[in-house]
Amino acid sequence: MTDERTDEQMTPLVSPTPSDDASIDQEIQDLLAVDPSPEFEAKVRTRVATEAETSGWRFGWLPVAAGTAVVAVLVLAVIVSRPEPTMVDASPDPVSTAARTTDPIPPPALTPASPPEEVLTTGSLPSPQSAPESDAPRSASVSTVQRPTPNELAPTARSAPPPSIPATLPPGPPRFARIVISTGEATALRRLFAQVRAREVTVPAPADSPGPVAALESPAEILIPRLSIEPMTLALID
Amino acid sequence: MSILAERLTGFTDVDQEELAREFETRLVESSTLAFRVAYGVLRQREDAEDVAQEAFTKAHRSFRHLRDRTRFRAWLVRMTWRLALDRQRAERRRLARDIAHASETPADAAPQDGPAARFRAGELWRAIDALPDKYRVVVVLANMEGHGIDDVATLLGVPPGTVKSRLFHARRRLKELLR
Repeated sequence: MTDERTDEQMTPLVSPTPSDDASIDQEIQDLLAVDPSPEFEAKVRTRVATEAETSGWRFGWLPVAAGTAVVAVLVLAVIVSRPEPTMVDASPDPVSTAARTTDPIPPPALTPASPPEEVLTTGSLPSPQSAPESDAPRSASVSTVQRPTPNELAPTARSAPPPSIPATLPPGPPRFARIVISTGEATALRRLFAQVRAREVTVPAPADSPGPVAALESPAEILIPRLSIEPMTLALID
Repeated sequence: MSILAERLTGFTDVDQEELAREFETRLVESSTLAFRVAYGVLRQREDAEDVAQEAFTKAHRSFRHLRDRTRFRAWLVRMTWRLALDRQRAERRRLARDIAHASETPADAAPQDGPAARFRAGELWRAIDALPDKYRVVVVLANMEGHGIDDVATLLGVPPGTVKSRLFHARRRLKELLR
């Protein structure tokens, strides 16, 4: 459109005082009648395509970012909701409590004459089916402990205070560190300690132990030669 | 992954192809309009094309919401106008002297135009630049592509009465400035 203008068409523009709106509008229309270059639309297409590729790359990362966020949230939820490990101190009769208390724990009834219901060996609890039930006398090397019946354990369990973990240590003598141990093992150890303390169970010594402390032999007489100290002479110093 | 991306972006392949076709149609029918709007502010062909390209790029990003032809053209005109004003203000700070010179002698004046025609064109541009933005955009839009009052009102998203009032005041100011 601009190229189609001629000097004759531009003649009205040089009128010094355009008075009417039509002439001003016509002049402005001529000014704005400029077309873009022929390659303008191609430039736009190229630019839009480039922008779309960048946008597609950005959207391609969107699912990855969303998945990462979901996994992070799940991991965080698992960590937050995971329960803290239970401590034996909260169990009815933990070993630590038995070890540091001075109250005597009533030993369970030990009936050597009568056959035990179950024999506990090496601290592991065999299944009831595998437990020997013979009346043969036990070997001296095996600790025989009669497992108390539930009726015997019930009063102890009922008398135990409810599990509670103090927020702060009470004043007094230093306390032992808490020991995390299973309840069954704690019960067995507590029972063993009580019986050993009451000398009702003989704990055999290990095979490689030196045995009871032997009487110290009187040391042989040690002869120390007499030392003689002589004063130094000036000749030796020189 | 592509299904997930489609669900997240809300686009399918069919939608993309259809959108691409519609955008191509809008580009062909609106490219001159966008260019002239930018040219009405910048009066530099290269700058006007660059601004119009930027406006089309932005339009393409939001084209899913601009599929209606009327809405697209109105959005494109307003976006181009704002981008052109931003470009002009930035250029004015950097090239204040050159802009002043260009307002007197438009760079894109036809070679066959004589000195008197270029002088008159410079006067007109200077008068248009002196108008407030709300008058300026009305004058520019009303004098391109045969736009009427209703067309300008639709493009600007204002009532026709507002366009008529602004056009009246703009013409009066132009007459005063050109007297």
